[in-house]
Amino acid sequence: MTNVFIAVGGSGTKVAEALVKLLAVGFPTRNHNGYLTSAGDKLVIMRVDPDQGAGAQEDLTECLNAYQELQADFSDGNKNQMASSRWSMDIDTRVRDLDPTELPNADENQLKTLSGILDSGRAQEKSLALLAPFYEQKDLNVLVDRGFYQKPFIGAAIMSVFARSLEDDSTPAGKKAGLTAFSNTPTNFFLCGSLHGGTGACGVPVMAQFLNRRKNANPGWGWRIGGCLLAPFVTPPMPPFAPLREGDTINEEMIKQLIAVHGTSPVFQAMSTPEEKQELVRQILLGFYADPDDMEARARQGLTFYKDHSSDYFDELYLVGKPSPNQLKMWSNGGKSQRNPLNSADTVAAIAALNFFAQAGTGNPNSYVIGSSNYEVPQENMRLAHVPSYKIGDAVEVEAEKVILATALTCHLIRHGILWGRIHESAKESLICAYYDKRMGQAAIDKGFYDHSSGKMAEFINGLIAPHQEHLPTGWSSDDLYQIGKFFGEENSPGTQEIKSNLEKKLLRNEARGINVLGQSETKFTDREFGAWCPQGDQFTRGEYFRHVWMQVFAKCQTSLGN
Amino acid sequence: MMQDILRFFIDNIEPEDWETTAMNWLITAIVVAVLCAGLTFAYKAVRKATAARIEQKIWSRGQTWLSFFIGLFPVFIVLWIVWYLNRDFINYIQVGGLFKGTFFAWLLYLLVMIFGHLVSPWRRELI
Repeated sequence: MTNVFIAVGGSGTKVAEALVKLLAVGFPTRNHNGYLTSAGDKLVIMRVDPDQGAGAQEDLTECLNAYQELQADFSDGNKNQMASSRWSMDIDTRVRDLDPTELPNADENQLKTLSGILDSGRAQEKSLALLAPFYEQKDLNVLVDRGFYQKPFIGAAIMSVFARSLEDDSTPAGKKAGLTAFSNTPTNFFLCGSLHGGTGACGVPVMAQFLNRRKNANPGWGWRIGGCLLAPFVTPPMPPFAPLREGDTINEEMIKQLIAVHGTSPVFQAMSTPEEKQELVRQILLGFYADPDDMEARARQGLTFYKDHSSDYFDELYLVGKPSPNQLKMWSNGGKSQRNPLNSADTVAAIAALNFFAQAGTGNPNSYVIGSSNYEVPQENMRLAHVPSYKIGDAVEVEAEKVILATALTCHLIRHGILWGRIHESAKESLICAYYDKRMGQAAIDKGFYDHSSGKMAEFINGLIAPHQEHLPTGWSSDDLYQIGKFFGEENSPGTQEIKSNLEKKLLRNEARGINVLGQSETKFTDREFGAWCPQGDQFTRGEYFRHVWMQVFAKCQTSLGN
Repeated sequence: MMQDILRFFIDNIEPEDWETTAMNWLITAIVVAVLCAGLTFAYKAVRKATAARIEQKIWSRGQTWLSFFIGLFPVFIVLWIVWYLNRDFINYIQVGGLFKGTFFAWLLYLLVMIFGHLVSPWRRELI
C-alpha cells in the first residue's frame, strides 16, 4: 500500500518526524502471513510550508537520514534514496517540499506577501482588488515566507491559489508533488497540521478539499483521505516585547531601539542580517506572532469550521491535544530558531496516522469517538502505556509499550544473545549460528551492521520519548527511557547482565528465571527459546531476521491488562 | 612383542612374574584413563545440562581443551595413589614405570576424549 503523509506547517512536520521514528522502531501497519510489519508498504512525505528554512524541516531531514542508515543496515548496506528493507516501511527520503508561495511565473511572484501572491501570475484575475477589502493593509504586506503567524485568514487565500497550482503538473508545486504518480493507485493520504496555528489551520482543509475533489472524480483509484488536527499541546512564551497599541504607528527609530535592547536575545542572535531583525521587530509590533492567549479560541473556531465545512473531505479525522499544554521556554517566530522537541502529542498524532495506514478504523464512521481513560494522564509525565493503541486486522492490538519493549529486547538479543565469537560451536544450539556457520565471514559483517542499527534504534527511541525538562518540554516521563536504557547497554554493564539473568533458565526446568519489563508490559522466555528463532529458508536479509525475532518477542509480550 | 611392550612399563624385571605385575600396571593405567575420561565427560554433561545461560552451555574450543588438560591431573593422582598403595608396583614398576604408565594413561585419556567428542554432538566444540 502507498501512503502519503502531507505535513502542513511546522506542527505537521514534527508529526512526520515522529511517524518516521515510530516506523524505525518497528511499529507495524499490516499483517503479512502472520508477521506484523510495515515492510512492503511505502511512504512518501510531502511538506506544505512557506517556511522552507524551518527548524522542524532540518529535524525531519536528520531523522530521514538516520532512517536511511537504519534501512541500509537491514538490507544491502547501501544508503538509497528509497530507504527500503524487510524490517520496516520503504520511505522516500526526498521530502517533497511544497512552498505555497512558490507559484508559476517566478518573475511575477517575487513578493512573498499576501498582496504579492494575490496579484501574481497564478492568481490570474489579479484578485487583490477584489479581496483587499477583507484585509487590513498590514495583513496584505506582511512577509509570509515564515508561515502565517496564526493568521489562517491570510494563509487560506494563498493556499487556495497554491492548491489550484497542484492540478497542473507543470507548475513548481505540481512537479514536486507528482500527484499523477498516484493516479489509479490505491493510496492513503494523511494530512496533518495544527488546528489553531496559521499554515496548518488553513492548509489542511484546503489540501483536503483538493484531494477530495480528485478522489470523488476518480472513485476507482481507491484513495483514502485521513487527517489529524493538533489542538494546543504546547504554549509558546510571549515575544520579547509587546506589540503596538491601537492607533500607534511604527517608525525606524523605534525599530532600531528595540533591536538595540533585545538584540542579544537568542531569537535575534539566530538571524544573520539586520534586515531580518528589522522584519522580526515589525512582525512583533504588528502582532504577527503566535499569541498564547488566543490559541484556545482559535482552536475552537477551527473545530467549528471543520464541523460546518471540512470534515466531509476526510474518511477519518483525528484530533489530538492536551487539556493543559506544556510550556515552551524559547520564543521564536519561525525559521531555523524554531526547534521544538518532539512532544508526546506529536507521537500520539503519528500513532493516529499509523491507525489510518493500518486501516484500523475508529468505530462508526458517522459518529465521534472520544478517547478517555479512567485516570488522569499526566501532561508532563506521560508513559508509553498512556499512548492509544491501534489494531492490525481484527485481532492484534498494537500497544506502543509492547512494540518498544519488543524492539529493545530484540536489539539486546541480537547483540548479546548470539555468541558472535563462538558461531561454529553454537551451531547446534542456535539456528542463526548454524546459518552463519555455513557462510564464512558473514557473521562478522552482519554483527557490524546489527551493532550500528542497535545504536540507531536507541537514538530513535530516545528521540521519541526524551524525558520532559523545563527547557525541553516533551511531555514524557523519564521512567520508560530509564528502563529501556538497560536493553542497550554494553556487554558487561549491570543492565545487560540483569537482562541476561532474566533470560536464564531455571535449574532443570525450561522456564525463564526472570521477566523483562517496560512499564506495564512484560515478557518471559529463555535465551534457549531465542536460539530456535530464525526465518525459514536459506536466504533472508538482516531486516527479515530482525523482524522475525521481533515478532516472536512481541507475541510473548503481555500487558498488565492481559493483552 | 607383548613382552617388549610390558618391559617398557616396568623398571625391575628380576622377579619371575614381572610380566604379571607389568600387565596389572598397564591395565590399571587403561582403567584409570578411561574412568577419568568418563568422569570428565560426565562433568561436562552436567555442567551443560545445568547451565542457566546458553553461553554457559556452549563451550569454546579453548574451554574444551582446558577441560582435557585439567583431566590429566586426576589421571596422574589416581595412578600415583594406586602405585603407592601396591607394594609390587613400588618395588618392580618403580618411579620410571610410574611415569611411563602415567604418560600412557594420559595419551589414552586424550584419545578417548578426542574420539568421544568427535562422535558426539559436541564435536563443534573441538573442531
